[in-house]
Order: sequence, then structure tokens, then C-alpha cells
Amino acid sequence: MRYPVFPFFSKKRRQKALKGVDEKAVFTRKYKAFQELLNSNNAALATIGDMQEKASGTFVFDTAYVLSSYRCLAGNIRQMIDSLNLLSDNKYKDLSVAYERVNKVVQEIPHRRVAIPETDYVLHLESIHQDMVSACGGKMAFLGEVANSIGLPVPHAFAVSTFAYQSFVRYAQIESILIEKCSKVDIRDYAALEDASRQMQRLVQQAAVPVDLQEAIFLAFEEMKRKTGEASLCVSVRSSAVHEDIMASFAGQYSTVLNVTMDNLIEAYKNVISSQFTPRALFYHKDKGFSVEEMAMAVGVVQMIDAASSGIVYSRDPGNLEEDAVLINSVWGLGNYAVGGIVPPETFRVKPKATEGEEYTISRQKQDRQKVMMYALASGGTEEVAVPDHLEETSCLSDEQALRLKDFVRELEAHFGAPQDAEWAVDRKGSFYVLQSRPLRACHLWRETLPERPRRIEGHKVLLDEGKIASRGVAAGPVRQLRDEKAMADFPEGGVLVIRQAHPEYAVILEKACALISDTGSVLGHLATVARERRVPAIFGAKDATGVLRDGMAVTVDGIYGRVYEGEVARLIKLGEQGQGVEDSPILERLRTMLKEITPLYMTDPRAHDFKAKNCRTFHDITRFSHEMALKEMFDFGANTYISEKSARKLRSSKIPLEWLVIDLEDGLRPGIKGNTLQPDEIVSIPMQALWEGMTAVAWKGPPPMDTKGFLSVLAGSATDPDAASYLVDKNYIVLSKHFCNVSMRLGFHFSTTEAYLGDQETQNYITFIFKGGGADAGRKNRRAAFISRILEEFDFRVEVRDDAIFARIEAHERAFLEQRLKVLGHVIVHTRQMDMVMYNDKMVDWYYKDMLKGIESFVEIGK
Amino acid sequence: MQTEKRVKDLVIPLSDYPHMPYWGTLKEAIVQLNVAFRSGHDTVLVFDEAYKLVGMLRQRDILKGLEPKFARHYEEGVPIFWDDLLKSGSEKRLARPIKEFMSEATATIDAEDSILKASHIMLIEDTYLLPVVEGGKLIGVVNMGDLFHEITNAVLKL
Repeated sequence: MRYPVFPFFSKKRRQKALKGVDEKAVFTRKYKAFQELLNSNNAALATIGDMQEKASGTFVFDTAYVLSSYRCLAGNIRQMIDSLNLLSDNKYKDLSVAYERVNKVVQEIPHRRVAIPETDYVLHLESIHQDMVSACGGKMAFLGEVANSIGLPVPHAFAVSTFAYQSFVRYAQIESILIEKCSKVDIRDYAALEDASRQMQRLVQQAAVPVDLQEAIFLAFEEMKRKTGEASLCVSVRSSAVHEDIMASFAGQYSTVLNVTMDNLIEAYKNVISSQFTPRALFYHKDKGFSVEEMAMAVGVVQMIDAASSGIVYSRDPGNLEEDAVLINSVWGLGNYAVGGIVPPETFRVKPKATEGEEYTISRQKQDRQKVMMYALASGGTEEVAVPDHLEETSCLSDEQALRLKDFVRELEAHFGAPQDAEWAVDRKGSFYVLQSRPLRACHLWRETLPERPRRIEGHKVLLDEGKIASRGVAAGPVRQLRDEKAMADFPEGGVLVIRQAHPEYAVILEKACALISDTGSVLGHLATVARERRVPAIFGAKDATGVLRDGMAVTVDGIYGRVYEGEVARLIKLGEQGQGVEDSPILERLRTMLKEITPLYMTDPRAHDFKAKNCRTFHDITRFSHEMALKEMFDFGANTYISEKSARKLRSSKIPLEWLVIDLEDGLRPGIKGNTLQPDEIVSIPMQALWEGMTAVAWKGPPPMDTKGFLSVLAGSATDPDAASYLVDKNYIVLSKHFCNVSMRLGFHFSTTEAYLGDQETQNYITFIFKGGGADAGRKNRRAAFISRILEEFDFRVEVRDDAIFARIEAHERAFLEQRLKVLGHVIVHTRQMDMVMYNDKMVDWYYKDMLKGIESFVEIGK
Repeated sequence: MQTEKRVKDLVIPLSDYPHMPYWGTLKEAIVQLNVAFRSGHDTVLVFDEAYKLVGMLRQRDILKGLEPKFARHYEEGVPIFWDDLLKSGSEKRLARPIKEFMSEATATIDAEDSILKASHIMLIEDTYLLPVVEGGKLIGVVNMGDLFHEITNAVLKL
């Protein structure tokens, strides 16, 4: 931030006062814009953080997620630009140019459209692999991978390809009608949607499947019959949509037809195809902005397993990914009851040994008895039958079977490189089959604190056991503490950067640092964003990292569980390397390409000459720049505004012999106050309450300003510059709202302006402070500035001293943290007035420094 | 006796002396004079809010301020344990504002005045330090020691 030079009780204000301009309405309007900007800034940073987390490859997401996140982010960025221009009377129009530049690049990122490859109508499972999603859909591509690359038992199966689908709709001449209906329907009109859906489904069901396609399907069916040796072979016909795998939220939208005989095969095929035109599926598709061309559906034809029991297995507990446990869910009979949750399943939790002598423990749980089960009829179709008495009492799976499933699913996880969610069945002969495997949809987000942290790595000393994960990962290196970013030139390559506050200026060092630990800071802040961008593991809020970690110490930073260990912990470092080899899906690639235009931060130093709107290169730059300028504009505006006494109330207190004009922008005062005077306890502005507490905690010493006449004899004219005296006519102002205050104050020749915002989001919060003036000689005034700067730095402010002027700021901390700092500031403002007078030499500075710390500690509790 | 010197030639700039506002405490004044000891300046200049001089706190004022009230009545026969003198209630006295102990500034001298006039005023006012004013603005002080040196040099040349 570039600070205004002087005076802050400006000429502008005095001119306005003379003209009687009342700017309360303008102030209120600008404040609203300012608040909106703070909100959008927070929302933008949160969205960027979330996108970065998804881009790490650990979490499942879909195209819709990418599109809607970007839309949301772009909206917030535009809002910030608009608000800033409103605040500054259009000073930053270049930001729109920067925005358009980024937006254009992002929009033009080639979006690998799913083209339908020309293949055979039928693809046998033996020839199917993971990379054939566009030909045979996600479900079948994964099943082929399970069978052919992993070698786990799966039922006999074949896929009817997407090319077959395309041929079908073209042959039946319904393709263009489907496309037209789909693009025209208004998904917000449910009746119309239902109507269109019914028409489209009927079109599909009544359409004729080309003869050659029918023949190919029957041929494949006959071959399956031969292979299985079952004369009356039944199959299940399942959807295998192209985007089902990459769009997890689509899972379960489409139908599966169970136990289909050859006679019903074509009918079932059409049923599954038509399921992508159900109202729900249509809504989803349209809502997420997909093109109709992408609605190409392959269909899986899978041998029915005569299931004794079946169910689902998760390779991890979605509620606790870090725990080494496999979850199994099982029912008697066919598995669709387990998936649909129709009957109470039996659940198993398989965990590595807790007691001696066994490798795993298996805990079973059954809520209720399973009374009915689904059974496949020999003649086709399914039937619900009672579970036989002897089964009702027993468990669906033996220990041995549960362990087998555990082995299966862990093998799947290892192969696919991510936690898996698989369907399984065991037939009456006791043979297991994997029916489907897909990435586990984890609801675990990085922003949440870990619900239950795993046991520590034994044999290594834990140095820090607190903090939020700002960027996931593990790294080891030597500690290097920095007090401020100026000292960063000789930062060692591969060092662990340890800082007290997460200032964005440190971003440059992340090119060299292998990990980052900060005592304080927001995981949505700029530095956290850059850490994720650069994939530098980071822990914020480590409380006392700067106290515990000494330069040169070798440490391992565990940015997965939030700990710091002494020395190198090989096991953790290995853990950190896992999951980096995850193959990029087209959607992951798209997200990452997009993030290159969004997350890098080039505008790191607000004091630099190129810190200008037109130099913003990414959305992150725009947020940083806009936020910085908004603070400056708001501050300048506050200093130059004149609000007439008519719009203000007078605040008087017995504790301080001063008078303030208080202007309430919004909800800063208790409602229902009558008259034009005010008591301190009628202020409900959060930052103002904290500041006031600091101002009054220690008793006021000295006189009311300029009230010395007739009290002491004054011999000579003032020893100070007569110009300074002209400011004595200025008034003390407090402009406030529930979360904001701007306080300009004069005590003798001393001027200070304090501005603060304390909201619910860390990224919105800040305190800015300027102090200048004094009647003493330059030496004394400069010493006083140095003195105040030392005090404020002690309490985590960043301070800049220019001659006798002090500019201090602290931001992006939680409310309670900043409330304590406001109290300190309140004390400093009131008790350092005229202190320039006593700053005889540096020894006096030392003495007053200690004396003032004692005073502050008497009422502020700040754990150091 | 002849001397060309004017008061302005002997003036000591204000900034060389310790300053305090009149509401500063006796304790702070002691700290000031303690750290100023080596400079040879033994007086705190006392100002008001508008940086106008209202008084001076000399060593004797401070010593007087340190004594308990009853000690002032010593001559009237109050017995005193000298070694314990400072123990009694000293914390309280140290927290008192210096305006209670300072000597009020009762006279000034113009920078253009002769040093003999300055010396004369000092004798009349019974002080060894005089505020110097130039064009209505306080610019510094002159002390008796410097005047003495100038005047006696002139006397020896007679």
C-alpha cells in the first residue's frame, strides 16, 4: 500500500467543510462497495483454493464442477473490479482489460470434446482397456481394465459401443430430433421438461435398431453362451456412459436392467439408452452446460452372477481417508438391494491388526435382519423372496471372504492410484466377481480439520503438532526463519521457510523453499494459494513455529496430517510421493491448464513500481491488486471526507476528555438511540469496541487538549512550528459500521487514523494505522516513531517508518486475533501522544518501550 | 567592562535539554535526568500541550519531591530516620505529576539582549537558567555557568 504523505486532516476536508458539503451518503455508498469487494475477494480466494485442491488429483470432480467453479470465480473477479471502480471513481479501468485478457485465454482452452470413435458395434471385454472410455463408456472401460490389466475375476461381458449408439439414432432418424428437443427444452419448467423427456424416451423405445447391430449383439450373446456353457444364459444390461466416470455426480443416473434373456435383449438395450433422457438426467445435463453431442451412451452386457450374496466395497472409509480400513457392505442375493439401500445391509470394517497374533481385525455390524432378498429367475427377470431362516441368522461373508474382498479392493486402489468404490458378488459356488470399480467419491475437503488424526510416526520426535494444512504434501529440509521478506536473498535452495505471518511477499521464496510453516495466516490467503500453485507443502497456524524451529535444524514437514518432525522421516516422504503419478484425465488436464491463468501471483510487492492495474496477469493478481487498492482508496477517502455535524452524533466519555463526531454507516450503534449525543456503551461496532477498550483500559494522564489557559503561566510562544497549530481546529471523527471503523484523531499536534474491518472471514480482516505529527524537534519525533514502531512490531504489525510518520498494517487474521491488536493500538494512540517531547535520547526510547509493554500487558492477553 | 556577546551567542538549543509535559511523573523525570547525566544538563524543561514552556524541573525540585511531606517540618522538631527517608510512600510520590514539583518559569530573555542583562535577571529571579525568546518563539536557554565564564573573562581583560 502506498500511503498518503501528509496531512491526513487534509486541505480537501477543510475546503469541503467550508462549503458545507456533507458526504455521509457518498461514504455509505462507497463503504457498501468496499464491503462487497471484501466479500468477493474472500469468495474468489476460496474458489481458487478449492480448484487447486481438485487439481491435485486426489479428489473426484467433473466437467460441470470445472465450468461452474470458473463461472463463479469470474463473477467474483468482475464484482471486485466493479466495486473497486465504484470506490475509486473509475481509477482502475485497466483491470477490466486484464480480466478480459485472462477470460479470453481460459475460454479458448481447448476442451477435449468426446469424439465418438469409429469402432465395431460390439467390443468384447477381453479387448477393452481403461483408455477406451470414449468407445465403450466409463463403466465398461474400467471393468475391462480390472479383468485384463489387473486380472481379477469379472463376469463374462461385452460392450455395445458408442459408435453403435450413434448408428442406431442415425439409422432410426431420431438423432436430430433428440438434439433439437434437448436444446430447446427449458429445464426450469418442470412440466415441459417431463413432457420432452417422455417424448424423447418414447422416440428411443419405438425406434428400430438396425438389423446389423441386432445381429452383432446376438452374435456376441451366443458367444458368451458358449464360453459360459450356460444354455439359458441371462445377462444384466447396464449403462456405460462416456462421462459417467469423469462426472461422478452422474453416477446412478442411468438404468440397469437385470436378468435379461436373449429375447428381451434389444428391448433392454433401448431401455438403458432411453434412460439418459429421464427428466433428472436431462436436467443435470443441461444445467451443467453439456452439449447434446456428448450424450453418447455405450451399454454393457454382463453375465448374470447367481449371487449368494453381493454388495459394495470401499478401499477407504470416505469419512476418514487417512485410516487404513476397508469397508464392506453386503446383502443376501442380488446386489442392487445393497446399492439402493432397500434392505439393511451387513457392514464389515477390515483393519490392520490391533492385537497380537492376527494380521487383521474384522468387525461386523448389522442394524437389522434382512428379511427379503432379490433373486434372479431362470426364465429371466427378478423376484423378491424371503431370506431362508438359516441364512437370516448367519453372516453374509466369512472372515476369509471378507479378507479376500479387502485384497481385491486394495489391488484396485493400487492400480488406479486412488481410493476405489467397487461392486462385487459371490456366487453359490463361492467364487468372487468384481462387477464394477470406480473412484471413491470422497467428501473430505482440505479446508476441514482432520476429524481424527492417525497415529504419529513412531520413533521420530514431533516438534510441532498444530496447524491447518494450507498446501498438502510432505517435504524435508533445513529450517530457515525469516523475519521479513527483505532478508530473502540468501534463502537456501530446498530450505524449510519458517515465518511468523503469511505475507504474500514471501511468494518469491517458494521457488526455492521445499516447505513452508507460518505461525499464523489464513489458508485462503495469497501465500497459501501460491504454495498450492507451486505444490510446496505448507502448514499455517502452527502457533509457535518461529519459537521452536531454529535455523539449520533438519525437519520433515508433514503437510498431510499437520505435523513437523525432527530429522528426515522416510516413511512420510514416501507417502508424500504417492498419488503424484496419477494419470491425468482430460478433465484434470483442463482444470490444470485453466489454473495456470488463474493462480500464479506476479503482483507480490505493492511498493514496486509495476504494481499497476494494467500489469495484472492472472485472476490472482487481480484479486491481490484490487484488495490492496481498495484498502488504500477507502483509507484516503476516509481521510478526505467531510461529514457535517448534522449527520453525526457526539460521543463523550468521562474516561477521555475528548469529543468525537460519530457517523454510523450501518448497524454500528445500538438501535433506537435518541438525540445527538452518544455513550461509549452504545457503540456495537466490533472493531470500534476493541479499539475503545484499548483507549480507555489504562487511565488517561494529562489535560484535556488545549485547556491550559489560566492554569499555568505560559511564558513564551510555542516552541513548535506555528504551522502545526493550524491543525488544532480539526475534529475527531469515528466512522463506523458493525464490522468497520475509521477513526481519525488529533491529540495536541498528533494525528492518527486507524481503520479496521473485522468480519467473519479471515481474508476480509485488516487494521491500518497512520500516525504523524508532534511539536518536538526532528530528532525527538523520529525517536518517537521508532518507539511506536517497535511496540507495534512486537504485536505483529508490519510497520513502515518514514522520518516521523508511521504506517502500520496487519491483515488476514481471525477476528479474536485482531481484536487484541486493536486494543494495543488504542492504548498506543492515547498514551504516546506528546511522547516525542520525552524522547531525549535512545535510552529514553528503551525505557518507555519497557514501560509501555508493561501497561499493555496489564489488560491485553497475547500469548507469545 | 566591555563584551560584544549577546544572549543568542550563548544560547543552548532546546533539543539539548530533556523535555517533559507537565503531567509526566516524577519517576519519568528522574529517568530523564539520569540518562542526561553525562551531558551535564541537569534540568528538565516542562511544556504544555501546545509545546509552550511552563516551568523547569531542577535537581533540587526533584530531591524536594522525593522527600515525604513530614520531612518539611523537620525544623519544627519532627524526628527523622534519614536512611529510611525514601522508603516511606515513595512509590506514590514517584507517580505524582511534575507540575507539583517544578519551578515555574517566571522570566525570559530576548536573544538580542546583552549577557549582562541576562545575568541581572537571573540574580533577581534566583535562577540559573533562562528561556531565550526570538521573535516570540522559544529557541533555547542560557545558563549561569556560560554567562559567568563570558563575564569573568571580560573582567580579567579590564
